[in-house]
Amino acid sequence: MSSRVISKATTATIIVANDLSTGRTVYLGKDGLWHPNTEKVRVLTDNADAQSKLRLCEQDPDVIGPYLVKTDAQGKPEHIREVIRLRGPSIYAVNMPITEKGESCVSV
Amino acid sequence: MYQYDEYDQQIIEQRSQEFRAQVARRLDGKLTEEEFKPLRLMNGLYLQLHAYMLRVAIPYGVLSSSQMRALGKIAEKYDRGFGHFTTRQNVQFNWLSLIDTPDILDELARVQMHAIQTSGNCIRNITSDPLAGVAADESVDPRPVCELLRQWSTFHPEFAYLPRKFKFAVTGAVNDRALIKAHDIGLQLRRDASNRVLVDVWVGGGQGRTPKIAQLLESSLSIDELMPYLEAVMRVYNQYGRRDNKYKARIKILVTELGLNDFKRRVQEEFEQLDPGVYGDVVALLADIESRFMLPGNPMVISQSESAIPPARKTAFESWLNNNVKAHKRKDQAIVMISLKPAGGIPGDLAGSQMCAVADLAEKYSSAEIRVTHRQNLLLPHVSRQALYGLWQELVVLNLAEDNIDMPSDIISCPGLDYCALATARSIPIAQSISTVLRGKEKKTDLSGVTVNISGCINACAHHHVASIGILGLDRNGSENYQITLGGRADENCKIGERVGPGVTGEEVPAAIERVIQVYIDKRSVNESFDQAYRRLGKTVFKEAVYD
Repeated sequence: MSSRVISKATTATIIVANDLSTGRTVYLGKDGLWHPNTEKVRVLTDNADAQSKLRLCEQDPDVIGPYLVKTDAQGKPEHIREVIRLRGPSIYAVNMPITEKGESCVSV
Repeated sequence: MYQYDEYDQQIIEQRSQEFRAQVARRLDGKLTEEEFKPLRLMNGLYLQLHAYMLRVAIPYGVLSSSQMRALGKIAEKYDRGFGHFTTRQNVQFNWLSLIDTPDILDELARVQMHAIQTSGNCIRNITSDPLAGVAADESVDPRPVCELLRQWSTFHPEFAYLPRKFKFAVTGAVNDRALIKAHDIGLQLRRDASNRVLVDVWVGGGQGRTPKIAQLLESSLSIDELMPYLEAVMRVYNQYGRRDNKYKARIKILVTELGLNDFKRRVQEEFEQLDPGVYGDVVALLADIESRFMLPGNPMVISQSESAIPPARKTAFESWLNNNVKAHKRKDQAIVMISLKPAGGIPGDLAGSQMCAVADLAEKYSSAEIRVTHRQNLLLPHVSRQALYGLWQELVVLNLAEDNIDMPSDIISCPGLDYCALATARSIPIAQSISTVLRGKEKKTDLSGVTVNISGCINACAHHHVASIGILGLDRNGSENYQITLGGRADENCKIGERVGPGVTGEEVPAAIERVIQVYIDKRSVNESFDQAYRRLGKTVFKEAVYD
């Protein structure tokens, strides 16, 4: 697993994974369901709680490779890799369709 | 175009059915991800940052129009409307769902395509000179040997679990356009004085974190000896290649650790124990394969006198002729390169609608054949010289007439951190900024032959080590950082570029590259290539330009 992925929740963290059937990036929400963005994301501030939730997510058959991501207090990722996972590719969509998330030119 | 026989067709159809059952078992929970992952990877299906990615094999980069059209339809039906051509002459779809993949493999199988062995520690897609069979400077058409290697390596049970992935490249021309010296094995086909085909075997080349130029392992093998000799090389690698450390598992490390002479001795011992009879009559096999490459008839001639070209268009057409049209072995024909690098565009990407349009053009102008180049462009190999103006006009309408082949804006770029789970930095946006900056400069002065390649991690998928100007994106304490290497070459005089110094930020890269190129423009001698100028002038003057 990437060194960017933190193993211990020292500050705010969220849980990200890939959806099994579509492969899309999904985030664990406050409702315990997986969501395509962080609007309803569950922000974990307690290390033990974060690890416990992560272990549960690892047993979820509907997602692949869940891990904890460091975020700000609102649950927004800080590392560029995670920003790109959330917002979609940062490429300038010259002659290309815009991304699913509605951004043809995302500055990250 | 090579025509598959019934056996080939049966293999890919059965493989597609098998994968459909595996996907069903995964989706209903009978297979865990740990169990399923090696199965999907054997079918070229990766899980990337945003979605599943399917890497489709294009053996030695040769596509029929019907295959290109099928790829275009897959892009539009299952992806987000585009595909990405790669440095292994393959194509990748970046936005797929697992549930759609069996249908996609079925659609590929209908046009004799698949994604087998585009991943995993096996022999990957065989690459070759994109001008194979049509190049004016070619002495041997490498396609039959490539096809023989494809048949030999596909599902070869002994080589399904090698220490690491394994890549072949083959050329039959003196001017190496297949990068054979940066491959695990590179084959140089040539003829002796009596017109007999001989093979030079180069071994241990590669890029990644330990770049190496291949060494000459054996010269002047006869075609009869080729297959048992390659089998012997693979056996030695399979037996002695390191499996304890994936970063030291490629054959280049084994060759380095043993030394070429010891490696060669072991190969020779293995070779002498092999029974060449088990490979059959290789000469006859090659002749049979050659007969399946249907020779195109005379291409369609659309006569439009170039003297009738409106003056306003003449300059643009002539620039395209000079930069994108290459010499064909038949003087009445031409090879037309289609750049997938518009200024500010995404290197190697092509919309599905454009793929279908290129398929139409191939049928109209190029005997229904298309090639993919390792520089992430396309080419039409059989175009009548008299039809060039008509073809150019149609390419202009499709936004596919960028006249920048082999120029700095013809950038090789991996998908980088925008898509790839392994990447440590973005590469595509940097490439877009660089090509925007450089396009104007290269229209004013000849910069042909100056290559710019950018990789988003140390795995070097974009071949940055062998570029005139190489860029490597890394993660430095959570921030993207780009190392610049200079003086590499990707031809028969293959060289690894030299790192100029500490990395710079992404924002600094385009201007740094522009200044480096300006040094070359200002200080080059007549007909002096970038790497020649770099070696004559020395690193310091270019380094100062990077950090100015």
